[in-house]
Amino acid sequence: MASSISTQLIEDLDIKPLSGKLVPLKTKGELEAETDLIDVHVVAVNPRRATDVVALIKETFPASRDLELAHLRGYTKFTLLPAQLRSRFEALIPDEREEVILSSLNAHVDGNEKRPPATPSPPVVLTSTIPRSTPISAAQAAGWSEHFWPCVYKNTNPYGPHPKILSQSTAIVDADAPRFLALAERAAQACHASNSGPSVGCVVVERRKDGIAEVVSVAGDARYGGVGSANSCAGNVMAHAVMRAMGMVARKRLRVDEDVQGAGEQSAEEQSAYMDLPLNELESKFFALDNIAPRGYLCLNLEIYLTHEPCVMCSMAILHGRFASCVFRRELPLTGALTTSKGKDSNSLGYGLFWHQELNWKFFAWKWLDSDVCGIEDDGSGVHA
Amino acid sequence: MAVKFTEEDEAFMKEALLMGESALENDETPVGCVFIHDGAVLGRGMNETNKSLNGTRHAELVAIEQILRKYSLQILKETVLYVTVEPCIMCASALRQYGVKKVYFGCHNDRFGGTGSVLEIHSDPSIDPPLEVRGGLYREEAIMLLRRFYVQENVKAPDPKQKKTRELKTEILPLDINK
Repeated sequence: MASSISTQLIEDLDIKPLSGKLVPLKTKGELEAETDLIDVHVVAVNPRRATDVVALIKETFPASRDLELAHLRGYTKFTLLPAQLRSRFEALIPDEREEVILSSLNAHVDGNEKRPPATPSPPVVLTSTIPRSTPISAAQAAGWSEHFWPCVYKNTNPYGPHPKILSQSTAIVDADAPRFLALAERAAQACHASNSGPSVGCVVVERRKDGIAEVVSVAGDARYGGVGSANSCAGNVMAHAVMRAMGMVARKRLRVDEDVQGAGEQSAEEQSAYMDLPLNELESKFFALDNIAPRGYLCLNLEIYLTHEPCVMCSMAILHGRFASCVFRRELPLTGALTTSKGKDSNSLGYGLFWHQELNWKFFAWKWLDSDVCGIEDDGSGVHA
Repeated sequence: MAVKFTEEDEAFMKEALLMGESALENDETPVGCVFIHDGAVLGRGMNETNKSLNGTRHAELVAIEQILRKYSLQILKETVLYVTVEPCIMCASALRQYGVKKVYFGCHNDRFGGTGSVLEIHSDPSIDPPLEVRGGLYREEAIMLLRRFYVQENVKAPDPKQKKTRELKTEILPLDINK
């Protein structure tokens, strides 16, 4: 089996891979779409007249055309309705052979418009709640069909990564995450043991064309610079683990590219406030390897594995670096910037920076869910990672 | 009506603009800044992402690194930053975590701005005290610096876009105050 240059190093460290699974983070758009419910009218009609009725509705209520409800069946058989809707109709119409039409007209809009022309027997119209947004998974579509209205899943996701690409990426990252997260823990402990910073660590990986993962940098947090500090002190913010790991990647690039293209002048190999040189044996071992593809750009398409959810600064740094993927183990609601939340009711920041419509780069992000949740201590709820 | 910027503000932003010029000469995104302490320049910085191959080497962080060579972390809480472009989301968070006293910036940063343009990292709920921010000081000069850069070609970016057809525009629309 092919192996990476860093493989042997990791084996020598005798690291016990974590046991658990990856959970893709929800994007802000996905979260909003999930709960975007609207009221619409539902009307029972004779199946033979269904087409005419749809045409009539569209003509009478032009506003109904503006509502994008392609994910919902325009009309459907009575038997396919959710149970709650079926029983509501049953109470009103004895003849259950009639089909039911979803009028794509928002109920609130309707109130201001004229009713359809009277018919000999007045139609049975109910108001019902439906999801306005396209479902982003088969499971979600099935759930909505059961609760709201028969709905179609088209294997797309306008609010986040395409399901197929996400599942491919998940499969790739899933195979390595148990080892790399364990390695990140080791990096965190190494720095913490020397009073360099809180126990936060990360591992940066380059995925080779053959799929083999190469660990290009390993870093712990060094915000206290070896003198230690109380939790209340933010310390040297740019020595967070992510910033240090990215700094080491850049230094490695300068070193590797020096021969190739005489790239940028090599900065002096002395520790600065960036703290982007190795601080211990573990970091040094990986930093010393010339195992990054030459002529690379920033951290383009690299992967990063973290012990904690990164803070706003570090999340944006990951975005600036153009990473492809990010996995973290512990969620930090007060300081983390990757997870999403809705509204002010949540006490988490909820930025969802990995997939933000207004930003020029997006990456995949997963939270690691340990098999044994009790095994993971709740540390640093008020710490920036 | 907003309070006018003082002559001192203008003088410090001119220093920041000089750093931006220097960045432009070095083929870096022309953003410059100065940190002021007790009425004097404590540190200067300009964007260095191309030279360092590091996407986090923004002017603000470069200047802080320089300051921390000589001073302890505490001094940052007594500094005022003048930066030609609105701090990005990353830098806004860093400045807030370091506890910088106040930030003056030139033009807005519609792509990455973290103090109003894209996100409001300076004032959003956080475990850190809010960051005081004021924009619009020498805005046009800051924009012109950026425009002069963007008509050049960034050869290091993957798949460089053709910029030969680009021309330097000099007209600057007034700031939309409703934004």
